[in-house]
Amino acid sequence: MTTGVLLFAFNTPGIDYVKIAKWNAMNIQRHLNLPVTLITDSTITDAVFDQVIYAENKHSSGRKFKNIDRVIRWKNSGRYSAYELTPYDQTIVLDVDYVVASNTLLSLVNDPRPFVCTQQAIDVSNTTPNLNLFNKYQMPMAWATVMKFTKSSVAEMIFDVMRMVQHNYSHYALLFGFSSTPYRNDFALSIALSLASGHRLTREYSAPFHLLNVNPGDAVHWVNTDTYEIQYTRTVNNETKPFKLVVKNQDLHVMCKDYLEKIIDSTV
Amino acid sequence: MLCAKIIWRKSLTVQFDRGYIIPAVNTNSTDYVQCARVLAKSIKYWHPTANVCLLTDALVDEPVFDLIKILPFGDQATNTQWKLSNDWQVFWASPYRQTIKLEADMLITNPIDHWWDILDKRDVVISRGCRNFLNQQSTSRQYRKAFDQNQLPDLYNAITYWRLSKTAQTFFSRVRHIFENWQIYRNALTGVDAEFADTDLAYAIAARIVGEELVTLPDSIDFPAIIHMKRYHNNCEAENWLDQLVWEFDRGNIRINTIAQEYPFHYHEKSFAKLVEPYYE
Repeated sequence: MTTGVLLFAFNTPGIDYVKIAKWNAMNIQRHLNLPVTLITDSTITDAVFDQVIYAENKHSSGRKFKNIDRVIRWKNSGRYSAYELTPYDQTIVLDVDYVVASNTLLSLVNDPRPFVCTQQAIDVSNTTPNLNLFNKYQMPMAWATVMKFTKSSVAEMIFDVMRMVQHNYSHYALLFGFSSTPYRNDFALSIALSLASGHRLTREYSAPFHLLNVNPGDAVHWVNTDTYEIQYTRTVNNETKPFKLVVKNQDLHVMCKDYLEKIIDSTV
Repeated sequence: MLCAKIIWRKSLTVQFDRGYIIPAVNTNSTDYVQCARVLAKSIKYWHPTANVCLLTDALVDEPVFDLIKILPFGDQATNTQWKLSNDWQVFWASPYRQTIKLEADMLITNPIDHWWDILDKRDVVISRGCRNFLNQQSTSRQYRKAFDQNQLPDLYNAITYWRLSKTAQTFFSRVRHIFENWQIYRNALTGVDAEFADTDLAYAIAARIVGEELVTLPDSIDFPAIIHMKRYHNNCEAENWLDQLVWEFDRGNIRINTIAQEYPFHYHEKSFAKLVEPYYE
């Protein structure tokens, strides 16, 4: 059975996702020794990827993050196509801003379940309440940042339902009480898991590790290989104070992509 | 103790070993018998041979019920529309050796016969806590302020089991005493000024007096439990959930905003009975 990692990278005017993907592909090969396939609409000449699959992604949406004074554009739709596009029997799909700094993801390779995703996230700065709940009814959230699937009827159904949710996103946004823009893969996956599991909330597909999030408004600096310093602020006794944290050999979901680009520019 | 044994043996006639009883007395504004009828249909959907008894104040022609019983002590609330005051009569009216009482404005959405295996070992079991439409334990205390202020157990009479026993008789005698002497109990409570007792509060007070451990199951057992469709349990903005949430009927199950209801569904809005009844035909 072939196993590999799938990354999606569609550049936007503000962020060079392909550059982040290339850097992360090297991290993945170093820690996981797995081939990486990139799905993109950019021309790729590097040999860092096992395969490059060209696809279109015309739909971009803007998202305004707390602590960031501009709208971030992203092209995140079409994630459901991972099932059809992957060249592997067993695939780990990662957001390109998921920084691999350990071999944690190898636990998914040996996981016998046909589909696995992260269902528990931790916020490094501990400033985001209800991180694992979404919509006005406080449904449990699945994070599409890390997904693993095998070619199987279960995985196919989950991605099919995810596609149906994406194509009817405004309906589901209205039904569950969340904003219909921007499109969120996390919300689509959460709803898809429930629908595909007999209309029940389930933790059946939960990854055996937590997702460690770095908020968009935080700062990340490279200390040395696989060691990062995260700077953030917290309100203590009604006073906003700066904090920093150094993490080593810990995978990070770095949502402040500006800093990722700076790290890549300064280290590669 | 001997006296108690004689009282219930003499006054209670057991016709069947096990069954469900649904108290329902119509008011000027609400057709509780219709609610009971739809509930009976939902029970029979999953368990066609289940024995279901309606407890009401007047004979009605409702073939879905196996038995129709008239309140043995009559309507104790003739001058009001607050018919909960009749609830305690279920113990004396039940034709069963083992009874599950269900509130009328509920639907059974899944098989429930496994309940008997656990309940069988107890004298009295009252459901504790409630769930929201996501099937999760509700954390809202909006409707339970009096319970919290008085440190009363978080009981819901909507599902109550008992077997003919001294414990059950003691419990229901106490519930009766509370309904009939509400002013005394009310004065002993903090933050309660209701003119009439409500059944959940009466059960909670009775449970505190009789012994909570004698009338509940351990927390580790997640049934019997209800899904409560009152607004705050479900983070609804609308007072009436039917104005905000989408319901579907799927082969005996109710789905709310696509989520299958895994526990008995306490729809609370009585008009829902009329909406859903055709789907059981």
